[in-house]
Amino acid sequence: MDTLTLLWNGIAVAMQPGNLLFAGVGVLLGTLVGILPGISPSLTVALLLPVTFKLDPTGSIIMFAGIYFGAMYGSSTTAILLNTPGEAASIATAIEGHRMAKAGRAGAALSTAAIGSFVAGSIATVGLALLAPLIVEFAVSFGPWDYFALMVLAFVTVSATFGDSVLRGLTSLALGLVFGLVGIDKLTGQGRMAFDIPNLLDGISVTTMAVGLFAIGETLHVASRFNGVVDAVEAVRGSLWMTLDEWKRSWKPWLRGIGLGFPIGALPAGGAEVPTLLSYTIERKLAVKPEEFGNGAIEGVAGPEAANNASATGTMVPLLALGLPTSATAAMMLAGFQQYGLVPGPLLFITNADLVWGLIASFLVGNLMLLVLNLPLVGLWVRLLSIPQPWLYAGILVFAAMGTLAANPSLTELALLVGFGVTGYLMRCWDYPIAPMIVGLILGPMAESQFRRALQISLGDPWVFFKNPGSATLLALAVAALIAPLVFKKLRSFKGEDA
Amino acid sequence: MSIDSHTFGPSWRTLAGIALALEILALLIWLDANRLPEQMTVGVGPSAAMRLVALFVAVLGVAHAMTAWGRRVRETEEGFAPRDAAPATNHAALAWILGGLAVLAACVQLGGGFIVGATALFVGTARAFGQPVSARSVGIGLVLTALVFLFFARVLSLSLPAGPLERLLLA
Repeated sequence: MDTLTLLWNGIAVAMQPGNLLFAGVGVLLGTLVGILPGISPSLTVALLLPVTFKLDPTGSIIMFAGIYFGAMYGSSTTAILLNTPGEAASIATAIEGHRMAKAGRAGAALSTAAIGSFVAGSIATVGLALLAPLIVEFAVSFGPWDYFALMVLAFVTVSATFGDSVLRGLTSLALGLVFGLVGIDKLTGQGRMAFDIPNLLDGISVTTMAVGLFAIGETLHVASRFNGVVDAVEAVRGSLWMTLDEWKRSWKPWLRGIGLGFPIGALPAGGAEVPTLLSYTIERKLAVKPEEFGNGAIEGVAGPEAANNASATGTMVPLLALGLPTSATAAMMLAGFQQYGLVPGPLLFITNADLVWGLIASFLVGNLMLLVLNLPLVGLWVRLLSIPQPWLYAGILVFAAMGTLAANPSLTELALLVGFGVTGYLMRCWDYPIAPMIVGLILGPMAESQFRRALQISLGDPWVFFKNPGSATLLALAVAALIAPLVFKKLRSFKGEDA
Repeated sequence: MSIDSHTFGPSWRTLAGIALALEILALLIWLDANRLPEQMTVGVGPSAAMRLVALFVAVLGVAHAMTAWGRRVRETEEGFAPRDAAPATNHAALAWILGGLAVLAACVQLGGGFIVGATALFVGTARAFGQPVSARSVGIGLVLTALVFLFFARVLSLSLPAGPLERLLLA
């Protein structure tokens, strides 16, 4: 019952007029930017990170959460009306949702997505509020070796479940780790990989990397494929009010989506695409009218959208309770915390209880705002989709340059931005996943400090990681997570389905 | 994701190139780690993580080289089409965007200011997506970047690189 009191206090924090305003601005900004085709929630947070340097920490982190949920809502609108999933997790929504829009049922598709997201977000937030304190209690007894092993596990799951090739995922992660090394070592003050460039001694900024990889890389990639053909936007036809039949067909997929999304998101398993695609597959198997799948089945929008939202809230469990980001957006949120010198983890629940519980409660507030604001405003949002591509991408690049130059107005920073942009372009061309690189940059230095602390305590005995049951189990899980996809691949190739 | 899992991936030449790049990167990290002084205290120093990461990168490089070798055999003997050879790349569009970024960099370095540089980037990117360079695109770019600059300077009190135009606006 202690948790409920804390959550109640959190709601009081979230309901303060200032914080309500921040949540509202975040939700609107997130929807605004997220609805633009090709912009994912993580890029939205990355672009807006530098703008919030000077604001109040609690307010801005509440705003980040709003941006995150708003951007997810926006991405699904784009997926339904434009068939352009802003991120991998919206692919399933795009399949059925766009078909529904083409068949004149865009209103119902948008409604089931919005209401499903709201239900999923609210239930998952309650799950987060109940689960996080338990993990915190457990994590207080964690030694540095346990944290290190946990981070290794996160590295493996993030790289092996994003994208389809373990080798490419691990390479992306390794690049992130390399860039994480750049700069002054925090313990000894020695410069690493800085090559006597003063700017590099401060380390690589996660904003620059994320904006370069996502915004510039994506723009270059779209431009390189540009041939003058523009996607058509489907008009919102059909009533926004779902019929009784549509409600009946939606609520079970919502609940199943939450059941898949929240646990998978809360485990350090990374990525919302696994639960969304799982949910899509399950709904197709369970459907009363399976023939509708592929032609606009409402279950195929309701399930994946709920799964997507629940798993996004689920990733907040390891992020808040352990300081462990398991998705690109969670990594950007962590960067948001770090911007104010806050370190998510068990300690934050004690030192900044107001902030943590205010944030958790703001998820509820934000989801409610999205439901109330977005369905009536959908006509306005759709207008954004008709911005011509040249102005849209030109604007995105101006904002990308602005974000980087505002954080650090120097040529080196701009050169890094362009370098990451070209890297992001090449990674897209060659099918390397981007998210592990961002997670590697953020989590790498944290893993290193735990590694060194563990070895200091053990007086330099490297076996310390295997002698402790906790860390040994986690490392064994990491090895299993690394080998499992390879084994499955081998099995598949035996069946003659070799890729 | 489900669609991509059955594609063939980059050609063996690309993979071999990536393998080489990874080995060079590993070597660079290792050399930089050697440059650091020996650690005297208990535990490990700042070079340990560098060596671990360098080894990791080197192993990934070897794995890429092995994949490249296997793919070369399948491309030459079994006639698989490499993935990166398929879609036509619009080089002109890439050049317009990178050109815009280069002009912005020059403006930052030479004191031309954010508005002029970012407008060049705006116009270049719009051109890459088929919008001809015209008074209209320059106009939209100028207004947008000037608004961004003023918002940052006045509301957030963050300074973007200033040139003659920016000083005029703030005066």
